[in-house]
Amino acid sequence: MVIKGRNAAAIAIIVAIAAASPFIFIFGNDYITGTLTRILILGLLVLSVELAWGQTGMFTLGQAVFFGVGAYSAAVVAKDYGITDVIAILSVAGFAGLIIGLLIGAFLFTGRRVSELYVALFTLALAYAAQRLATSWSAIGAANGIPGIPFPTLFGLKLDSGPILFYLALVVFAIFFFICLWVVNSQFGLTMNAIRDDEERAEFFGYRRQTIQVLVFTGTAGLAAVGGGLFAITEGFVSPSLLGIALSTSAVLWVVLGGKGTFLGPLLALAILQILDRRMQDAFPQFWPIAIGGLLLITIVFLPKGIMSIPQVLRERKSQRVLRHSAPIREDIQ
Amino acid sequence: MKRKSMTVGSRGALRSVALLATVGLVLAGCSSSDTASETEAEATATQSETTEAAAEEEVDTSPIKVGVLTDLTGAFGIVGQSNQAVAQFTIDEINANGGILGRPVELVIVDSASDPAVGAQVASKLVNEDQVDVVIGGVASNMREAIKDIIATRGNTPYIWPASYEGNECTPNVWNVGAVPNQQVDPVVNRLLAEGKKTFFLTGNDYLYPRSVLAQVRKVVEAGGGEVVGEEYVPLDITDTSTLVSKVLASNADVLFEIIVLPATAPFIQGVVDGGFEGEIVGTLFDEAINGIIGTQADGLLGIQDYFATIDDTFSRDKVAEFAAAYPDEAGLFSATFNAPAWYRGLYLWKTAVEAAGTTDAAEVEKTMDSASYDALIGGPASMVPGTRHAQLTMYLGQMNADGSVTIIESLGSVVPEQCG
Amino acid sequence: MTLLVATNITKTFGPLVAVDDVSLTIDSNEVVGLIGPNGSGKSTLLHTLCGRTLPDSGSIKLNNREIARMSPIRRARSGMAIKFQLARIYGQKTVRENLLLALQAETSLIGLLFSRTRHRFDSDIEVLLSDFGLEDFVNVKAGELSHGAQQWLEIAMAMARKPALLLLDEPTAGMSPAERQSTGELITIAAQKCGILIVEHDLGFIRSMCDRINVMHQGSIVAVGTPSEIEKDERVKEVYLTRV
Ligand SMILES: Nc1ncnc2c1ncn2[C@@H]1O[C@H](COP(=O)(O)OP(=O)(O)OP(=O)(O)O)[C@@H](O)[C@H]1O
Ligand SMILES: [Mg+2]
Repeated sequence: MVIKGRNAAAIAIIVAIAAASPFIFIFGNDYITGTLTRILILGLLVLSVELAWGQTGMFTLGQAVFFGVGAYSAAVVAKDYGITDVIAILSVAGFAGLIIGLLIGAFLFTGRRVSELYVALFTLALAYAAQRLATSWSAIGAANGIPGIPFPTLFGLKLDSGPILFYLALVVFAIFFFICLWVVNSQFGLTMNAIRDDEERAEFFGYRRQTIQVLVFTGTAGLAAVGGGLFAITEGFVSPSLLGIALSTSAVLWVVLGGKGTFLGPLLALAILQILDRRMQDAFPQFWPIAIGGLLLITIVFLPKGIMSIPQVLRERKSQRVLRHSAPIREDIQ
Repeated sequence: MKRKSMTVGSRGALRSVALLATVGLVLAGCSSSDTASETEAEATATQSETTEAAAEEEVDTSPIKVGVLTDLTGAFGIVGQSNQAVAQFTIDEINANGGILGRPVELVIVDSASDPAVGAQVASKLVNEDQVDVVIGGVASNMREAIKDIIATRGNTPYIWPASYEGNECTPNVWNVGAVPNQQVDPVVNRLLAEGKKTFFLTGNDYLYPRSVLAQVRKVVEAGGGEVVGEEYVPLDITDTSTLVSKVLASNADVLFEIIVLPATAPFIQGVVDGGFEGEIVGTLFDEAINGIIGTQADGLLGIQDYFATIDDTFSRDKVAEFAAAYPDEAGLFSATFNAPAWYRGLYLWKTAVEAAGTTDAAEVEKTMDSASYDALIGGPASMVPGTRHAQLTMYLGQMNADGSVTIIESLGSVVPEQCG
Repeated sequence: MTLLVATNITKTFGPLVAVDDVSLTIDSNEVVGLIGPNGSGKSTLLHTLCGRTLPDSGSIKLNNREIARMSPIRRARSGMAIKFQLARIYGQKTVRENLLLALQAETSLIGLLFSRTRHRFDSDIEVLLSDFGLEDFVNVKAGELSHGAQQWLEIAMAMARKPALLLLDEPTAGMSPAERQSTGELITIAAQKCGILIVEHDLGFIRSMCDRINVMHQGSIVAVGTPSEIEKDERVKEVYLTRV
């Protein structure tokens, strides 16, 4: 694997988080630790949206469905079957996500090419339906969800404190983050981008477009589901909103704000908003959701490539100004 | 060198993102209420008298922190706004009377946004960052389930659950001050049986609360020699209730016991009433507010609650009038189904427990709260039944009138919860 | 040897008969031209050959295999490659990445994931770069290339996997005479290994390149022949005089 500048930065971030994390034991309370843990877990969801949409052009507005499937299967396995080993739980969660993702991916992508909008509306509807289903299915707690999920164990050791759960999330996140980087930088990643940029063209080169889309979609579903499983065992409860439209659109929102097509931007946007969110929500409960909506619109209009493009946009602004000044001279030359 | 235009369709795609994300946000937050909130989170009455009195000895005069967790936004936003006002009202009253243990009481208010995942976050903030001495709140049971471990178990902080609910919450540090099914079901069902009404039709939405309550109804009906002639559960989002209505009408039952929540409440009850149903219609969610939802067909419905506006109790009436004057926006919303009496009750019972313990320490309060009791409460006296984590409550049977008022049919006195035994 | 046999191809768009009962053959190592006024149906015919649109009726045989109903992916995998009228390259990707994309299309997915062919194609890329004079732009984003260079890149990508049949829709559109000439040379070299169908408006170019020319008018092929035969054909003159 070639480590380019962008990857180096990504790796630097992971290393920095890992290096800074011991301070959690010293300074952090459970709330701060919990927030960081949640950022890492939702980070897996963000990565999955970025892979599906940012890298492959499959505009999924229902990625929380897989997150929720993972969360619920982890909850059932841990609570009803008493399996608490973290590797077993996350495997089950990921596997459940893969199966559901395969079914939905095959339905969406094995036929003729479908438009981005179709995929978006279909997955949005799916998220709505999934939440409704979970809300009325009494075997999985219906509207109440599944509370009281036991703490996970690793080789028989109980992982039952905030900082330990944080490290668990950090390790899982780091593993999948590097897998994502590896995939995107592989020849397969190049192909994903080709399908994103012009899927019909890719077909004319002979790429098995359907297979690739179904595979990627399935993989991202599995990734989101691992995140969901991790959520279930660290938070100790699952509820229908985990499968719903709100979380699905939030994930897309983080990707848009951060910059679709990059990994760091969306993760950064997620982290910033998560840290700000609770404080702002409590300080301005009526105003904050509107502010987020406004922020989204402003980003789309002025920063279509998200916060990661701010330096680039500033540079272009500057050169445009130079161009405008020199315009008369250029006319003279012509 | 010419710069080529962007890749295929990227502008169109962005526009659809904007559109869809907005749709999503709107869908997700559509029910968030836009009533102006009283964001007086920091309305701590700084009390000079207490400070002076404490100057002599080394007495702790730092404020006691009460965490208020409720759904200020989202589906239950309107309930949460009312809860917040009631909490503020109660704490202002406590502060005006010298606080607790001579210390002022301060509220820390957080919004759980009708989403348990958010609730878990803010619960952790209350307990771990604000380090409150107690948490009160939650509207729906799924919220309680999401936050109780974080507060009561991991956070080792008392948690007051102020709502009527399905029962069976027996976790240490959790205190249930709302009615449980037997408190709402037993008196009214026994009364109806005694009146000779023997056949019951039970229906509700398909989730935990209706199932638990209706299971209790069936138990009491069968124990009392009655008969359940129908039991039907419908999905939460059902709006077409015609099939259910015809089943009810065909059953010719003496009593319809129903727990159908919005949005189907109105069409269902209207359908049953207009269809000529002759029996009694009873529910656990009926109070003054039901009229606004179903209109004149509400006339004659029977409800059983821990409080109605028309109960014959001057203390309650005066307090609610005071509340209405202080919070004009929430004036009409002081109702049993909004848990208003339970919030008031929960805070005072906890105050009693802290005073008995002489400290806010969780382990000490766990002992004294077990038998806490207080009389000057809205809706009537209440006391914790030792060993049950639930409260014995004064209950009332009321009949809804066409004009939205409630006629008290019977004051049932204090009803004991059957819980955690 | 006959490479492609298309018989009685018809394609309508609503009331418009864009391709009307057209038959066409291409031999291996043959360069066939397809000319005709704007809107005469040339691109549409090409699209039915490559699978972008399915014909309403007719048969298309590539190496004696019926492909008229096959997906573009299977046609590509049976050795067909196309350069579209408007260059369709990956503007966000570098020239090298574009070429790699063309070359690796049949690498197994596992092979792609483990980047097994990333360097195996290096020499092929070098050859394509030098053949098409793109060496200096190897790490330039394809979208930033000049118009002509973009056309070359797409031709290079179409030729990358040495297809049996190459479909070129207006390969020299917008090129300078010098650029046209080098494009012609590249096509001549390519023709040694495959059959080529070229759609062009530039009659001089077509005449110098092609062994055989088809003339299309209002959806039908009105004349077929060697360049010199076509030049003398009365109907062809008529068609080109009525050209708008
Ligand atoms: N997808 C389509 N839907 C409807 N009409 C179409 C479609 N594609 C092409 N046409 C019509 O079919 C006719 C033939 O178009 P085609 O593009 O094949 O012509 P052409 O010979 O390639 O022209 P040019 O030299 O301008 O490229 C035109 O009238 C065109 O408008
Ligand atoms: Mg054309």
